[in-house]
Order: sequence, then structure tokens, then C-alpha cells
Amino acid sequence: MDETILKEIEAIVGRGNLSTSIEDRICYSYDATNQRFLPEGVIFPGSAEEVASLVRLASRNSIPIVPRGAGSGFTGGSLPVRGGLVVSTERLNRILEVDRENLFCIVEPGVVTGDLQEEVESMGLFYPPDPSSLKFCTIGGNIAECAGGPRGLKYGVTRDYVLGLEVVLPDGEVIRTGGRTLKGVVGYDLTRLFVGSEGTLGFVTRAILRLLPYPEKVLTILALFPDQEGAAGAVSAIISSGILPSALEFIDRECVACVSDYRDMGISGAEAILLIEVDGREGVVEREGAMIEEVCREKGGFDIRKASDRRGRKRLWEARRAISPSLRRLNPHKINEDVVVPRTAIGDLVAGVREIGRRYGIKTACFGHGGDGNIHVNLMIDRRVPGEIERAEEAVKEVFQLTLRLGGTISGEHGIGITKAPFLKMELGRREIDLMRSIKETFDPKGIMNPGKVFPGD
Amino acid sequence: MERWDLSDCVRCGACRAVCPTFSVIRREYACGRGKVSLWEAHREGEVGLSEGFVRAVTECLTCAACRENCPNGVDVPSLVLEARAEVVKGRGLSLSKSILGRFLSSPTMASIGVKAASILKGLLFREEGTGVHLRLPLSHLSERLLPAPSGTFLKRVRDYEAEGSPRVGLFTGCLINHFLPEIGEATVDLLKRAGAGVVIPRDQVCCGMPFLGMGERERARELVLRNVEVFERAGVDLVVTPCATCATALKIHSRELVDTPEAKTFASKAREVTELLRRDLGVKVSGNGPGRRVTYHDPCHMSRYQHIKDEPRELIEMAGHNLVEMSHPCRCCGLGGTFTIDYPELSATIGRQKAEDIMGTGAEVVATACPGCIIQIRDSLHRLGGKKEVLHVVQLLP
Ligand SMILES: Cc1cc2nc3c(=O)[nH]c(=O)nc-3n(C[C@H](O)[C@H](O)[C@H](O)COP(=O)(O)OP(=O)(O)OC[C@H]3O[C@@H](n4cnc5c(N)ncnc54)[C@H](O)[C@@H]3O)c2cc1C
Ligand code: SF4
Repeated sequence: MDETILKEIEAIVGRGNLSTSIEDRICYSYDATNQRFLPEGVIFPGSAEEVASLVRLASRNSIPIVPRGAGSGFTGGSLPVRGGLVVSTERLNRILEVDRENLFCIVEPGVVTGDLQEEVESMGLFYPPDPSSLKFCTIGGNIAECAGGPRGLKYGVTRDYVLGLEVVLPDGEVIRTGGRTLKGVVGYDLTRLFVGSEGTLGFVTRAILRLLPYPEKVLTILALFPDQEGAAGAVSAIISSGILPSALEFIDRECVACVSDYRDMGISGAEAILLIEVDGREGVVEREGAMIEEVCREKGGFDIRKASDRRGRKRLWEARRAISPSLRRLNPHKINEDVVVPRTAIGDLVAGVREIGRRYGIKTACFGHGGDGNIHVNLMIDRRVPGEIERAEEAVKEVFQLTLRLGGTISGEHGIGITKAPFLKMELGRREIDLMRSIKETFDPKGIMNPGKVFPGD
Repeated sequence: MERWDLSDCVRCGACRAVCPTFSVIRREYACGRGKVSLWEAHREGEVGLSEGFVRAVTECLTCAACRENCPNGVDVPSLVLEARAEVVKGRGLSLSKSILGRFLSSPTMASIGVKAASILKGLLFREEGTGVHLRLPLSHLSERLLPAPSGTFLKRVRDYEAEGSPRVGLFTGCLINHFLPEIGEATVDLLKRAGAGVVIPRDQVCCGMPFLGMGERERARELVLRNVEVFERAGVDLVVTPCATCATALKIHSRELVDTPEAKTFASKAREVTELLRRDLGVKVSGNGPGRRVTYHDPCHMSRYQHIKDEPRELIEMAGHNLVEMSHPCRCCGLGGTFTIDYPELSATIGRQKAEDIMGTGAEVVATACPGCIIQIRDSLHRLGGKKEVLHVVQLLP
């Protein structure tokens, strides 16, 4: 990259906050897709003003800018596929304000989600979105991908907690969307447009997030089922009984076998498992717990365990948490797709995936957020076996087809980035894609903001 | 000869959540994922032994928090030690580390140095709180609260030996030998009262860990060979040490460094002191008099390398003390062996977090099981103006 441009960048962010060393370029070249694209440089701005100046400079010189949080994305959002500069939020990590009366907080994008949760919890407040990467992913990345987790069923996803944003547009101008209030209908909802836009429309430098009071009590229930139909049936039955659990996790028999092989947790007799959580007021929670237990029993559930203290709950979650590491027993490499289907179709999805796996000779395992139909479909492969990757790719395509046939969507949480871009057309029509492209062009006519993402063959 | 598989790292980033140096530096090279990537690039010839590479592998406490938290168990600490050995092979050792190495590897040099220092104590040091300050403006060392040099424990051990069963060989370790002999004495006392025989071979040498940490594998190996031989000659049933770091070296690294049946036997006889007291000797202590409010810091070499967490706590509680947990008891104290010499400010910043967690408990005494942690925590508390006793668990038992 041009020396004079580097000098200008250094003048903006200060010495030491721009690196073009091969070591730093390598360290900011990957994300959780485990793919690698070297940037030309890495920048660590310390304020929104610095970001704005940087983007202006990049725009003037048509240099790609790639916003980056923790690099935990599963679809390659933070990879500099067209080179250019990675702009990391490593230093933009302050919680600026927590307003107890109005129930919101203002944060910089590099704040780690779990750190924010801990901070507000110590004040009796609650920031519900809970991707399982919460201990290391950032709010900026969560907003860009619209991250979600088990609590999505009752509490929604990141989108439902973003009240307002400060964004540096691709020409370097700073805009503010939304505000500090829950309601607001003045003009188009730009805030929501930015949520899930994968860093392609602008660089988020500040977010106003909605908070809730922390629930008084949480009760966790683990129920084993002798067959998958029972578990899938229980999911729908619980919801139709009028209870909205704060988590309703589904674990299939392949996962049960893997986890049991990994560590004995007394679950080996099950063909499927539900892990359910209810939260709210003391008394109400217990009543709902009893009702759920009843429903599970009706659907054949057995060995039902409950806990409401921290340690007991942690123990019940252990089996769920052990799934990811234990799946490696099936095969060393994992392809993880976060598809969503209407919750009544979970059984069909899981059975269908099993059948696809059998046909392609690929081991599969399904688990995830049963309550909202967001099931993680895992294809466990060994990349070293010739032909395995190709077969897996075909199988993935079939999983997507199945998902769409069941009325679902091909990505619930992880976004499109580069890994799912080739499949965009399976779900969206030409008109929808064109509309989205024209939005991108309106915001970023020069195409410098995270280029090469979302849209296929771009 | 790699004991870990780099392809196990899926670049998930989970190691960012637990790395103490990353939490301060906030640059990817500091966390496990960055180090794995740089090591891979080095292997491919993309990165040489550059400043950036060397920094990535030396600016690490080898606390193993990443390994423990990694969904795939990627062994970053082993990678770091291996990479340091490569750096030493390619670039040699820094002057300060070679001098330190000379002292550590030669018992005579070390005891002459410590003897001289204790004679010149008044001249060299200024006493303060629980330690001393160096009067000379020797870079960051003069800011640090150091333990007073105290003469050599291994020179006065004749009186300590005793008959009994099992015959336990005491491995003192350098820090206890030269600076904190009272820990050695307390250990001997406990062993005797448990009816064990106590043997203290005087020709034992450093456990090798500092050399392993500096990347001097060959020297570490020589020291291990020596200790294996010394303790074999002593004809002991078990070998115990009150130093968590030495225990890790004796149990785990000696076996990795020296591939002989004798080394294997030596490693299998090695015990950390609280482990020996509780598991092998089944010691039960009971408190006399009012207990104290004690908080316990888990040394990385105890909780993560040896998985010993319960035994020290059991002993503290059995002795009638009131154990109050600090938040993050397993978080590294920030010493990291020679890390604290290379990166004094970073070491102090991480130490400060530990000191704050300790202050949050309201305990009067901080107990731990590693002399290195004791020295670091005393210094960190001192800098924060916190007045607390920092002791080894064995010093809290009646
Ligand atoms: C083990 C593991 C578990 C996971 N579990 C979940 C889960 O349960 N639910 C879920 O939803 N996701 C999950 N993820 C995926 C990932 O953690 C989320 O997508 C997360 O939101 C990414 O955050 P990040 O800070 O790592 O962002 P990055 O990966 O760095 O970036 C992601 C995207 O955000 C953009 N971006 C980052 N900061 C900004 C900014 N300030 N302005 C504009 N754009 C920005 C980037 O350009 C990129 O497009 C998981 C990942 C891992 C590795
Ligand atoms: S936690 Fe383990 S697998 Fe994940 S990035 Fe770190 S070293 Fe790699």
C-alpha cells in the first residue's frame, strides 16, 4: 500500500495503532470459518472520529475497509476477501452509559457481549441475546450478524434490543439512527436495516441497547425421551400450553451417543433430549415447571431433572455444552449449518437430515434451539478422505433444499458472508436480491465497505 | 515430535475470552489462536524468527487458561515452549537470561550469590512490608518487592531428616531454597508429624522449569537427568515438593524431556505437597484456636497442569480457617517465570487484577501453594497498598 496513505492513517490513529507487519496481517486474516485472506494492514482506531477519518480516507482512495470484532463469525464476514484494511474494534470496547430508569445502555462496538451482560447483571439488569460465543464475540459483530441464542424464543435476538446506532457511512459521514426510546416511527427504520447487514452498509461506532430487569428466578428442566417424535411433540405441546420458555433446546440421538461416549452424564438411555428453561417471578416459575414436566411425561419423557440454583442448573446444561467438543469423536471436521424451520417441522428436519447423511455416507448430528426451530445441523467429515468434502457440499445443498421445502430459512444466526453467498438464490427471488443490491449501492456506491460479502459472484 | 495437532485449532476465538495477557494487550497475537497461526506460518516459512514472532511466543504466561477452555484442547503452552526453544536455537539467549541461567543451573553459584546478598543485605536492600526493595536502580527490579535473601535451606537440612514410612524425598526448589526456607521447614514438620520419613538430598538441582520456559531444553534435560539420579540414589518411595511449578516439572516435564524408565519412575513418584498430605498420607489436621479469614489463589501449575484444587482447600478448612473464595481464584497471578523479567509492566498489570480480587474478599491471609505466586502476590498487594499476609498452605496448618 502507498506509503503516503499509510502515513495519513498513522496520523489519524497514532503510531502503534496501524500495523502492516506480516505477523499482524496473519493474525487478522481469519475467523471461525478457518479460512484465510491477508489484509494489507490492520488498524485499531480508538474513537468514532478516528473511524470516520479513516473511512473518508479509504473512500477517497477506493481502499476496501473490513470491520472486524472478535473474528468469531461462522460465515467469513470479517475476512478481507478483496484485500484492503481490516479495521478492528479491539480498542473500541467501553461501556459508556447504563441508564437504570430508562432501561438502556450505550456501548462501543468492541464490547464483549458477556462482559456487558455481567456488568448490567451486577445492577439487576438483563441483556438477553445469548449466542454461545458470548464470552468472546462483540456487540458490533452481534449487530452485524443479528446474533441470537437459546433465549431467542422468549426474548428475541439482537435485532430486538438495538434501539439506536451511530454509524460511519462508506463515504465517511457519521449518522445516528433510532434513539433512546422504545418507540419511534419517524421515517424508515434504518436501525433495523443496519442490524444483520454484515458490515456492508457502514461501520457501527456506537449502539444504544435495550435492557430488561433481570428475572427473579430461573428453573432448568432436563427431560429424556425414548423416541424423537416424543421430544418433537413435546416442543409444540409446551408452546401450545401457553408457556413461553426462555430456552427449549433439542438434542438428537447422535448427539446423545456422542456426549455419552465422551463423558457419562446419565443420559445414554435417551433417543432425544429436551433442555428447557423458564424464568420470571418466584411461584409462577415453579408452576410453569410443573406443567412442563407434565407435558413431557405425556409425550413419553422420563428421568426428568430440575434445578434452580446456579450449580444445579450448570450441571443440567453440561450435556448440552458438551455436544460441540464431543462431536469430534465422529470425525475431525465439522460443517455446521444453522437452519431454521417452523417448530412443528423439527421432527421432519431431523429425520430428513439423517436420511441425507445416510445417502451421502456422511455422519450427521442435530441439536439446537428447538423452541424457535433453529437447529444446528452438523455434518461431521474427515477432509483428508478423498471425495468427502465434495460429497458433504452436495449434502449441504440438500439440507438447504429440505429446509426451504419445510418452510424454513437457510441461516438463522450466522449470516451469509462468503460461505452461504452461493446459496442466496435458493431462498431469495431475483427481485429481492436486486432490491438488496440497490440498497448496497445507495449506501456504498464505491463498494469499499466489506466488499465481496452476501451477494453471490460479486 | 509434536505432541499436539495444530490442525485441531478451528480459529473459533474462544481462547480470547480467558487469556490474561490478551485481556490487557488486546491484540490477536497474544491469544492462543494468534500463536497457533503464527507458529503455522513459521513452519511454512512465511514468518521467520522476527521480532513479532519472538514477541508472540515470549509474551505468554503459559498459564494454560486457553488450553483448558479450548473446545479442541489445543495445547498452546507446549507450542509456546517449543517455539521458544526454536528461538534460542536460532538467536541465542538474551544476556540477562544467560546470567540468570548461570545462577540457576549451578548450586554453588546460586548459593554464593545469595550468601553475598544476605551479607550485604543492608547495603543492597531497603526493608519494606513483607519484603525488600533493591536500592540499586536496576531497571524494573528496583520497583519490585522482592523476598529477602535468606541463606540456603539445603545447607542446613541435616537436622531435618527423619526415619519413618513412607520414605519421602523433599525437593525444595530454588525459590524455597534461597528465599522462602520457612516453607521448606513447615513441609518437613508436617511430614514428620504424619509419620513419614524425610530425606533431603543435598545435591539436588533446579527442576529445569526456568530453562524450559526460556527455551533452553538441553539444559533443562541435563537438570532432570541429575535429579532423577540423585533421588534414585536416595532410595525414596515418593518425592514431594511444596512448589507447584517444580511439581509440574517433576511430574510432567521430566518425563517429556527424558525418555528413560528411571525418569518415568521418578515422575510417577513425584507429588505436590497438599496432594501428598491428603491423598497419599491421608493426613487430617485439626485447628486449635480461632481460625483466620483465608482466601486461596490457585496457581496455574496446580489447578491447570496438575488438576489439584480441592486438597489445599480441604487442608485450610480442616485447620479451622474460614475460607472465602475470591472471584477468579484460578486466574494467573501474572508472574510467569521469566515473563515478569521480560514484561514487568504487563506482569504488574495482571498482578494488580489478582490483588484487586483478593482485596474484594476481606480475607486477612492469602494462601497459595507456589513460592512464585507468593512473591508476585506480595508485590502486587504492596503496590496496591493492601496489607495482607501471603503464605503457603503448609504454613497455615497447625
Ligand atoms: C463457538 C462459536 C459459537 C457460536 N455460537 C453462536 C450462536 O449461538 N449464535 C449466533 O448467532 N452466532 C454464533 N456464533 C457466530 C459468531 O460468534 C457471531 O456471528 C458473532 O456475532 C460474531 O461476532 P464477532 O465480534 O466475532 O464478529 P466478527 O466475526 O469479527 O464479524 C462478524 C461480522 O460483523 C461485522 N462487524 C463487526 N464489527 C462491526 C462494526 N463495528 N460495524 C459494522 N460491522 C461490524 C464484520 O464485518 C463481519 O461481517 C458462534 C461462533 C463460534 C465460534
Ligand atoms: S480456543 Fe482452541 S480451537 Fe478455538 S481458536 Fe483458540 S486454540 Fe483454536
